[in-house]
Amino acid sequence: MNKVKMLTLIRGEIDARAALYKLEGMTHQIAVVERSVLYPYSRFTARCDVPTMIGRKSMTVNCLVDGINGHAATADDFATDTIDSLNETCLQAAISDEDAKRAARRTVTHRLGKQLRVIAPFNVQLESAGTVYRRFWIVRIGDQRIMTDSVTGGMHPLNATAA
Amino acid sequence: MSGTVILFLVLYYVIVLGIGYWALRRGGGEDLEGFLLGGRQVGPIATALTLQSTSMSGYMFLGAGGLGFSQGYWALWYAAGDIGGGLLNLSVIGRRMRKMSQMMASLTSIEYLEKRYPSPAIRLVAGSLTVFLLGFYVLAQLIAGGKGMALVTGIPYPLALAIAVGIILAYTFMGGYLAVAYTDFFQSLVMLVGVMWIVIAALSELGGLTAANTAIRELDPTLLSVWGKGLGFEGQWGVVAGAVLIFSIGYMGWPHVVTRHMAMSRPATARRAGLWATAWSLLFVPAPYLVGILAILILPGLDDPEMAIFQVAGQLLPAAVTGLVMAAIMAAIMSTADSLLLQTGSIASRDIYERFINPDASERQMVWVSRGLVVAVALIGYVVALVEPPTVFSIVIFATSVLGSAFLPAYVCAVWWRKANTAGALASMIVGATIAFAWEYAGLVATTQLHPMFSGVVCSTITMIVVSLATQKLSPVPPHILDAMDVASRVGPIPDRYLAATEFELANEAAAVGRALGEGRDE
Repeated sequence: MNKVKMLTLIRGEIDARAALYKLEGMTHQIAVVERSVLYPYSRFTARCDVPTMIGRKSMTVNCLVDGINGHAATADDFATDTIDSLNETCLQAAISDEDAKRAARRTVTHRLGKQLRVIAPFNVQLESAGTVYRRFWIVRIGDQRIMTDSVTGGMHPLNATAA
Repeated sequence: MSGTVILFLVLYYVIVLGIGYWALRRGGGEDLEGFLLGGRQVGPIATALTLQSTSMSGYMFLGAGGLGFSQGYWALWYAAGDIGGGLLNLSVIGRRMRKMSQMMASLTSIEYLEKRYPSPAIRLVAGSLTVFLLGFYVLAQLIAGGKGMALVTGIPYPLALAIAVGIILAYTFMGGYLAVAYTDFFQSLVMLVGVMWIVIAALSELGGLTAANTAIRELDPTLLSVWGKGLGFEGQWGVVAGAVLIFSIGYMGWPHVVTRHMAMSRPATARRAGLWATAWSLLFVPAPYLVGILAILILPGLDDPEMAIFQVAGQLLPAAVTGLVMAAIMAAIMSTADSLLLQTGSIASRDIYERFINPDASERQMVWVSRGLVVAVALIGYVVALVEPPTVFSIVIFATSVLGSAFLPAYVCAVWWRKANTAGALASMIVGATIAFAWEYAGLVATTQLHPMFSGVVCSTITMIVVSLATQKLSPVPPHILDAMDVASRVGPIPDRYLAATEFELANEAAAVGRALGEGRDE
């Protein structure tokens, strides 16, 4: 799992210290950053046409497909860095390119139709942009382990299923 | 209606189109992308008003006013349920269902049901029922649009209806350009100011609420009672309960599944926008009912009670304001109709056609299936609205009753009851829809003094419980669903203040990371 390789990482503003302070500030308990985990997403760029009052407009939509669960989501633009995975736990993607592409296409098409409130073909052209990783900080607080997103600062307990 | 009204009505559309054009040119497409992908930077108030502008339908402007005019203060039972509905929906299933639907990667509410209660039969029954009932909602919007258009322009109803249907179809097939945040915001603002203006003008005309109530009492004191005109519903708590339930828990049979979008910063706007939307509802929802009640005095000879709001506006507001407000109301009705048609088309193409008929359907084939169904629904709606138009109120109440009765237990138990299984959900949907439908058409309301919604929900809930318990061995709830319910229900022994910061959108990632690090039950 810890084999060295170069990875594309979504750039995040939340470092280990910020993740720690945020949680301690919320709970008023001592917390410890245990490690970081790199989570894989298949990245797609979807080029599509949308109808507007000044004609059809081409636009580009980012789509990330969870490399482990296969769930797709549209995404804001983001910057990336290239890093090595020497000191971090890097999870391996488990879904096929074909499945990822299918999920991306479905999600982008559905999102466009729903948000634009229109029934029209969007001519979605998907371009794979490889795998990108998102870093999550694993913070221990008491007997609880919390996962903190290095990009948004969003948190989720890890042992939720046991709660 | 005067020429000034029509002039300002046209002016309204010119402004809206101008705003849309300006937004697209100014942003060079970025604005559109921002809107599509949830990255709006218009602030919480504008976001809240934008959301509300599409949720206000023909019912609010025709049905609610008509009910107030016909039944007096009894109508406020519906308003009470309507105000509390959104809050109840959010608190009972909102958060859990959003989390579950994201964990199960469901794009539509029907897909979510099938994943929670794994069986193709669930999708087939739920999809067919929803398409059927959405057709009634669309019919209500068509009638509302046609009536409004006829009044504003003075053209005959059949032609006005045809124009309204045409505009709604154009919205649905070509639209999108109106669905930018700025135009929705402008529409919502005009609507809010306009409706408040109508209320204030009506109260001012009648010398205030006390004077109005005094005058109504002299006319017919029963209109001031909580039992309706002529005390027609006196002691009928089953009917009153149904009236309150229809828009409170009825909403829960009408959930929205949100497509996941990964923002690269925390979406604080959405949270504050929710508060503003609630405040907006508190202010706005009772207004159309109140205008209907006041119209009893202002328009004593009104032929069609459902035109109360339009007529009061025409009588009391300056012509220019009337034109703008009516245009905003018409735009809201058409935009709601467009959303409903879109949803109908989406369910038909994705949940029925792609799932059961052609799993390899291309995007273009799906579009044609959606469009075909939308045209069929609009044409059938046109014929019904022309030949024998029911009231907007009766259509919406009927559709909400059947929808709520069919789906309420399925959606609530999906997140709250671990034993709710496929057999229970399927039986509950069929029984709920059948009872509510039959109650209405067999005229059982008068004999039993129970609202169809009340009877339908009670029967579907009992069915869900009995069938689920009886079939636990035959149809057990799969372990991965039980795990998802656990994740959706609690986030562990964490202080309450931490809960607000928990990002349920990370639930899937957290489960996978937990498994990799050796945490959780399913490691």
